[in-house]
Amino acid sequence: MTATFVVPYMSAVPIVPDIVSRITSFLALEADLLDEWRLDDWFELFEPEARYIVAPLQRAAESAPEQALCLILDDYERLRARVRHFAGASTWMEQPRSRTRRLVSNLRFLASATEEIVVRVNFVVYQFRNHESWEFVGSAKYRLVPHESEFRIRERSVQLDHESISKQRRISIII
Amino acid sequence: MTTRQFVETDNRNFFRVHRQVYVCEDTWRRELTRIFDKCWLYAGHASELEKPGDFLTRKIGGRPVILVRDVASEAPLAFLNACAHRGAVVCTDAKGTANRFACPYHGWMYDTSGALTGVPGRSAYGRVGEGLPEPSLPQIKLDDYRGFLFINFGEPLVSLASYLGGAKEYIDLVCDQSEGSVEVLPEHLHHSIRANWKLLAENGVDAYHLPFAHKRFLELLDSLGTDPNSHKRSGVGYALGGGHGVIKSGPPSTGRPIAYWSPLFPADMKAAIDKKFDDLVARVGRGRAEDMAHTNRSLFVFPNLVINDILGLNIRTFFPTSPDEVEVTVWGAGFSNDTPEERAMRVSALISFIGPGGFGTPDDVEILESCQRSYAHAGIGYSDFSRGMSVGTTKHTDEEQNRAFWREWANYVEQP
Ligand code: FES
Ligand SMILES: [Fe+2]
Repeated sequence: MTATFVVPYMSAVPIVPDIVSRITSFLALEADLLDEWRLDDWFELFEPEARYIVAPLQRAAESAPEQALCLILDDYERLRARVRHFAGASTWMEQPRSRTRRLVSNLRFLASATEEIVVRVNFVVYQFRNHESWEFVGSAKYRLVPHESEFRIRERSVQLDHESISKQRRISIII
Repeated sequence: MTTRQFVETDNRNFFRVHRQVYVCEDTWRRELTRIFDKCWLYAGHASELEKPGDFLTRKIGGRPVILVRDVASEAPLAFLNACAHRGAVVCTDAKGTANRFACPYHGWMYDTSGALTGVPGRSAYGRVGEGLPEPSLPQIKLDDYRGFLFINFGEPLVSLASYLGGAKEYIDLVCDQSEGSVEVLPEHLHHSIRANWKLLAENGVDAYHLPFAHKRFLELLDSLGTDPNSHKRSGVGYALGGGHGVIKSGPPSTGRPIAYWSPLFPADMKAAIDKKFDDLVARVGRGRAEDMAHTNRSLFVFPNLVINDILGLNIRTFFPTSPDEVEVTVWGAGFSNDTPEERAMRVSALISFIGPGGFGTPDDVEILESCQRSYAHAGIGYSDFSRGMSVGTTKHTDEEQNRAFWREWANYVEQP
């Protein structure tokens, strides 16, 4: 029999340990796909109707993301274009391509139901470009939908901790 | 031939600028004192200070500033965010509503008119208020053109209205396009570019680069269903006097929230957007309605403001923290009578292109930084701004608006 335990933080959702490791490895896979620039495979992880959001830095907004000036608010089609552009020759921001390395940790379950699991992780992405390097630090909230033995992403919403995109100057990679 | 130190032109065929201006430390210091301390600088918008006591703090022209709507006079005022006693930052919140500001260092207190209203242990200053100047929060000149608030750190030679001159009618074209008033959207975009600020001043009114540097963005539009031929635009580029300039072009294939639908906007908004045009014609007449709705306009106000009335309305200022770095702030704007759907549409269209995560700005960042890297410390050679000059055209893809900037820049920086 599988033991259940309670995550003593944010929410009291009974979790089967198995799902923790399944989500952990799903997120590690996702990070690998991004670091290896396998963006078509990464895009496959999204449900149609999915959104990719990078929220405003100022964090004051309690309103819906579409009512304030976010950094990124991609619906599925815009995300598809974003991904496809990385393969194109006119994406000057990534000519030549940056190297990245992602660390993903501190998995939290915010809500769990059979049809949707909401988790939050902390992350650091190191980016190496033009003989410089910088990092993006923040947290990411995922709305995940079970799919076969894995998951599909319904929403991937990033909150950066930076006060300004000054060290990085642009977001030319998926963060 | 006019030969100045850096800006060279024969006023007929060529106009070029020595690249030393993008890297030279001395030039940058001159710019700070001769331009940024003398010109009217965009500080914020009246809609950000809705009611008496509303304040915000931000860096303007490199200095910490408080903008506040005075409780008594209800007028927007600007102060250096630095205590009259020893200069500690008096207000550390980014924004809020207050009746007074209390300095954290020794507790001096100011009201929203900047007057000193409280000094702990005041009796220790026997003579304060008795013939000696009463200290107050250092006030900065502020003037307003149709809700656009500008400040001036020096003794302004001209009022804001005459400083803006020919730029005013393009601000009017923004303000008059709705019965509502211009309203800055919540949150803003803030980033830097490792490039000289003047590269961004040029770039803000450079339509020549669109099909090349921003091919990716046009491809996004095409993938959403825009006819690629519709990106072929015609337009004009004007010098407006005082270093200000504008580029104006159409058709606005990337869409105008008033009132030119593009696939960047939701399909179910098309009817509503089309109807807006009819309303606009009824209100301001066809010619002006077409000017407002069927053209993209980028207005550059010397030295560091761009008002883009394009796929979304946005206000961008920038300031050089060093010769090779510029800090950029972008606000989105809409109108007070926008519905939540219209606001969402504005946000979505705007950030499709603008900002560190858009499909446009990051490519500009990469390219402007590559320019800066090529100048290195030597500042080799010249940059060319002669497009349209000898053939006598003033197209939006020509460079008269850039030459206007450089002439004005030379007036400020190159005079002894
Ligand atoms: S510095 Fe403000 S009270 Fe002393
Ligand atoms: Fe650009």
